Amino acid sequence: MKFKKSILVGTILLGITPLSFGQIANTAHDFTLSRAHWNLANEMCNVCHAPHNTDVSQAHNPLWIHTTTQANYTLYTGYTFSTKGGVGQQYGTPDGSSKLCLSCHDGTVAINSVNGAVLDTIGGKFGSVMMGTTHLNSTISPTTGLAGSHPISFVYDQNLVGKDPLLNNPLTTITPSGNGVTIAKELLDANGKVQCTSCHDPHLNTTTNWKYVRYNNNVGSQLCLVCHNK
Amino acid sequence: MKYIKIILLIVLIVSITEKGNAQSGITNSLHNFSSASWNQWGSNGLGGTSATSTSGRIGGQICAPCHAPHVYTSNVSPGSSVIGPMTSAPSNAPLWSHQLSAVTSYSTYSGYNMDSTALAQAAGGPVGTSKLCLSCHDGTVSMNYYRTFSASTSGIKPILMSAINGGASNLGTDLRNDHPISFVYDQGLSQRTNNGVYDPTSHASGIILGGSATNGTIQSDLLEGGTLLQCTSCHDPHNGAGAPHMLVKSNTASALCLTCHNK
Ligand code: HEC
Ligand code: HEC
Ligand code: HEC
Ligand code: HEC
Repeated sequence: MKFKKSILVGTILLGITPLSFGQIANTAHDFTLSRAHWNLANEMCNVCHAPHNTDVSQAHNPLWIHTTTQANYTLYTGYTFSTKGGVGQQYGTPDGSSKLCLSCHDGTVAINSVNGAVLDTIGGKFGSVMMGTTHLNSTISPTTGLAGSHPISFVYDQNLVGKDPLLNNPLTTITPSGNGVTIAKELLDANGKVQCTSCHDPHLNTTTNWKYVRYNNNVGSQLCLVCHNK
Repeated sequence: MKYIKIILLIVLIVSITEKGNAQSGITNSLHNFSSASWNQWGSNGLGGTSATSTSGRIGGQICAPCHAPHVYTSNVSPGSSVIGPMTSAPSNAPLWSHQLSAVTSYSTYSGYNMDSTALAQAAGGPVGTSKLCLSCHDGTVSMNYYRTFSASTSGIKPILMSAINGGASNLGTDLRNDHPISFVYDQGLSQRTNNGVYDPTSHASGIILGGSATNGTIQSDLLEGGTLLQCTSCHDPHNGAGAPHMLVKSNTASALCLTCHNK
């Protein structure tokens, strides 16, 4: 994932001067004190990342510190898959970066839980802040949420393109970011999988990239069309 | 001289027809709603051409009227106008986000000479993907009722199929005058019709997708779940073949009909 590059592109597209880490500021993922009363450390990244003591049990660990969800999910079942006669394809159980997103968004782990403990509370003053109760629209609940969501955590490779000719080849198709990189490089994870991060960059500025959606907010459905040759 | 002129004329006509051939892909089809006046997320809708975070809408969207990356429950429940949070999203492949038609009693084709077993299946009315098509084409649901937009969204003026292009694409709820859909087309039907329709499990579909032949059969390429004949047996809503009327393949010399009918 080209985090820095997407910041650059966003900046060039919109012609605004960036702060060095300003994208995430004042968005839903900015957990500084004025926005998240429980984050006494008043840092921006500390709920998700830490320089030390990160969770090495995670296979995918971008210096990750947030407590990881243990939930199992009802998944999206593919409809037509490769041909109309194909059997409904079950996509993968969430792994990689999707598991990181779901650690807050499935509503089972407190937003302010890091390494298994509630972050920075004074004698439990603030308690657990849960997604499901406070932020209903952003909750993807384990039981139902992923059944109605775009498939994630499955390998998108030439083999899949062979079965579904209406997918673009991830190894050769260039994305609209303007960096001349392929789908595989920019949108898929190290294992070649589609994840939440294929469509969302959790660090984008939501004033210009509503709901952290890549490519200038998916204007003209360019995000969908980069992979789907429809 | 005259002869040459005629040849030239023919060449010209052929090349024009060739050029006139619609290009494939949804972008080049009547299903490209990116600038439709009723598409709230289109370039002429409330979304505008650029991202507007304040209204929470995005412009120029092609997929949005039908699909959502995350589906909110109730705008897809039949006839519902209530909007629910992501927590209660149903399984609704293919990520369908357009409000479904509440109609349950369609009048269906009652075959002149149709196989009674297959017909019995059809009598229940449309199921599966055909219901997705009918969520616009039966003329009862407004085109712009998708995602979180519904009758109760302020500023939404309903636009029904009857208001578009003189209602040419409005099938209504009386489907007696339309080709039967949602029935099982299997080897048995082929046998019972004395091979009047080909055996779908072995007869080639002749479908070309993404530029190359699928080498599939009627069953694998044209029947939903390998069994049901649906609207999508003849039409590709994404215009994959670039054939007129978004057919799955050109019907020149009735080639599409003859894919299944042994006539
Ligand atoms: C809401 C949680 C969250 C917050 C807050 C957050 N990040 Fe991240 N960050 C993530 C996730 C999830 C990933 C993994 C993305 C992936 O795998 O593609 C990530 C990945 C990264 C990476 C590696 C990504 C890459 O593309 O190489 C860097 C660097 C990073 N974050 C920096 C920061 C900084 C700096 C901040 C604070 C200004 C920050 N993040 C705040 C969730 C967060
Ligand atoms: C530390 C917890 C946490 C993690 C990890 C996290 N989020 Fe969030 N996210 C939140 C909170 C809290 C909100 C605000 C919810 C609200 O107000 O409804 C939010 C909001 C969002 C929104 C809506 C933004 C908006 O402006 O309305 C999106 C989209 C989103 N997150 C995607 C992601 C994705 C994708 C990932 C993983 C790459 C991720 N989040 C990881 C806590 C998190
Ligand atoms: C195929 C692309 C795609 C994938 C994959 C995807 N999203 Fe989204 N998501 C979107 C888009 C686009 C939106 C904007 C809302 C819309 O278009 O309906 C969105 C909206 C959201 C929202 C905001 C909902 C709201 O109304 O506030 C959250 C939260 C979210 N996504 C989280 C996730 C998480 C977590 C994952 C992984 C499990 C994920 N997304 C995977 C494209 C995607
Ligand atoms: C990173 C690439 C990528 C992006 C971006 C993407 N998709 Fe997908 N999508 C896929 C892949 C791969 C599949 C699985 C296809 C298959 O199994 O044949 C899929 C599956 C789907 C399906 C299910 C098809 C079925 O048969 O059940 C739908 C619907 C869909 N995507 C719509 C969208 C929409 C709408 C967007 C934009 C918001 C989008 N996709 C963005 C790669 C992507």
